[in-house]
Amino acid sequence: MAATRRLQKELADIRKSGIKSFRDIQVDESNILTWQGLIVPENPPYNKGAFRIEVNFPAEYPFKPPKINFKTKIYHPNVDEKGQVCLPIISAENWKPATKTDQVIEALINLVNEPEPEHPLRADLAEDYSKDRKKFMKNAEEFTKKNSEKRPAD
Amino acid sequence: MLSFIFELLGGLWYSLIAMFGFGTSQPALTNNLEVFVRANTGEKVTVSLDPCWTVAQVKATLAPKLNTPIQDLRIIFAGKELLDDLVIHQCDLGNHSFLHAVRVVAGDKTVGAKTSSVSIPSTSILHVNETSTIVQNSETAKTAELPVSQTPNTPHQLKASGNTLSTNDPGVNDVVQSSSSSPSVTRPTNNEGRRLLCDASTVITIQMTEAEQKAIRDLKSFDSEGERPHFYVYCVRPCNSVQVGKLRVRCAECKQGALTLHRDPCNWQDVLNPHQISATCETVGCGGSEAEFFFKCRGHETSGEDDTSVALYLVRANLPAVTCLACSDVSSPVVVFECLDAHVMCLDCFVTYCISRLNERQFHQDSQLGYTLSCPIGCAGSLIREVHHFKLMGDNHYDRYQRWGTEEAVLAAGGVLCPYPGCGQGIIPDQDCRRVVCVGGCGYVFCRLCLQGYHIGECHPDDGTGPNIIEGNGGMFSVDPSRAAGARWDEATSLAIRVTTKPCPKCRTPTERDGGCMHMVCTRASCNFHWCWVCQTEWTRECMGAHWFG
Repeated sequence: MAATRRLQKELADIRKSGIKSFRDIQVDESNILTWQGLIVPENPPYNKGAFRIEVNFPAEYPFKPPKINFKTKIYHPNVDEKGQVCLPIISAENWKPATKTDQVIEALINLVNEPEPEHPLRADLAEDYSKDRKKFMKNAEEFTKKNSEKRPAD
Repeated sequence: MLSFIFELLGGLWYSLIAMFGFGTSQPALTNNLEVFVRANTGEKVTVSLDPCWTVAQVKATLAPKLNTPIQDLRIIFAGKELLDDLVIHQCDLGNHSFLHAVRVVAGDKTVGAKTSSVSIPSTSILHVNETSTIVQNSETAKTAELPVSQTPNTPHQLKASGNTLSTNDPGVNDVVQSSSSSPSVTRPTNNEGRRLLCDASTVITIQMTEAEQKAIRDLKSFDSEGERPHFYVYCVRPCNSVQVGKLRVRCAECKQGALTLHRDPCNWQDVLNPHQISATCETVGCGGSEAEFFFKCRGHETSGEDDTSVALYLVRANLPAVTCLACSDVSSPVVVFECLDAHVMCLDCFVTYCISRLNERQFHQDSQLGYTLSCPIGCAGSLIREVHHFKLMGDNHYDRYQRWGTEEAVLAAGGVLCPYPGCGQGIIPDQDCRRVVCVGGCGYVFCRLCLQGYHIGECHPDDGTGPNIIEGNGGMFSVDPSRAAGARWDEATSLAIRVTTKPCPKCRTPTERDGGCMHMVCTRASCNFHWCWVCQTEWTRECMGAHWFG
């Protein structure tokens, strides 16, 4: 009940804000607890594509944090092969009910743009990122071109 | 003798009531309030009031019923004397409310004139009522073993009931003078401000700090049409919900409402804690000097003076129209937490918050306040002090809340909970004893360390010796022992628990992992141990690197 009311409001606010790096937000009318959207990063190597994510809100939202999954494969030290991502702002111990989804998305976009190799989900990528940036960038760019979605034209 | 007097009085009342037509069952007007009036001498009469009447009109109605001249009547409600020009609907009276009538002897008007510029005879300081003098007289008479001395009083009483008693009756005046040195002289006048307990200003004063009040006043300058301030209570019966509450006051001693406050309550401490505000009790023979505040529910017609409700002091009308921190809607009433930021939540979200925290067993066990929650942001000093707020979750959740609260209290006191399926009895065993018997519960004997059936030697939590107290063979059927073993409900339960859960390495709470990573946090808030589902030890960076997500 609280979840539905709040999410309707948040969704309207995000759509109205016209944020460039998170767009094409799709929500099934019958289930406002699941959102899909397109992350459009600014920084290389991820600026060669766009990445679809799914945000799942629990029924107890906002008292429990949402979960975020990448639907598009991404070559990133903080996102594992299954698309799971570790985002401190939505971890159980850091979550605050007053945190808004746009802040969560912003944190996610920052993490995509600036990987955090000290808290990796994929240790091999984190090592490359820290020790052999050139190799990492090359692999990541290739992977992005091959797997990611098309960036919106505007 | 006295009973004879009362009978006589009673008879006369009834004739009077019949005369005025009040005894008939038809109310004169449909919106009339039926109100009980209790005199400070204990008599109770019922009157039907039009909410548009002034107090003076009420007195005119009451005077013949109580056989007291109008000018000798004082009406007390919620710790205040109601002045003559006050209109009844301003007083927050409900159907079947109690008013208190005090009879005054208006003989000494000079005192009233001295202490109060608004010189109303009925607020004169000195007062003694006739019946009380009779009671006092008869008591002294009894102690003096002179029952005959009651007789001279009877004519007073008869005259009074015939409504012919003059206040200048020398006998009465004698008593007035003789008692003028009594403590009742200190009775206060409460003309200044004329604020009633039901006034919005009282609610605001108690609920808000001065800074908040100022903020509200600033807001109100451009928003005159808004919420009205209210107290809120949890009405257990019959409403079983949050309701607007009415602040009332009674004598801490005799529990009667005929008392006048020496000062207005100005914060929650004044209202909730005892011995905060002194008062003068007008009930004959009481002499109480302390006020005791309580709340009534406005949602239902009161069923009597004992029909009180618990104040939900965190619940307020949302005067400044603050948005709920969870759903960002503006609604009223809201829960305002006691943190510095005074975080606001609507009631719906508050209930969702409590239930989701309860489902995860994340209430906080506080040594003083018990099993409670802080504001959802987790601010310091925001723990809820009145557990009745959790009643908002509904009866089923509240029952669970109470059970878990008790369990946490047992665990906090160094006790254990009987691990036998369906038992859960709390036991506080000797500190150095590993063998625990479920005393007062199911009788199960278990090991304190591994919470399995008691054993000699080291604990082997996974060896499958779960609770098993079915002993002997009193059965009449011959059943294959292996099938019987597989068909035992409790055995199956403990097996299911063993298969699907792992115990927290610290407190051994059986824990089920329903998704997510391998980083477990003990579901019991008071344990809160971080552990690894794979290693079943404390969570480390190695776990994070090697098998965070399995």
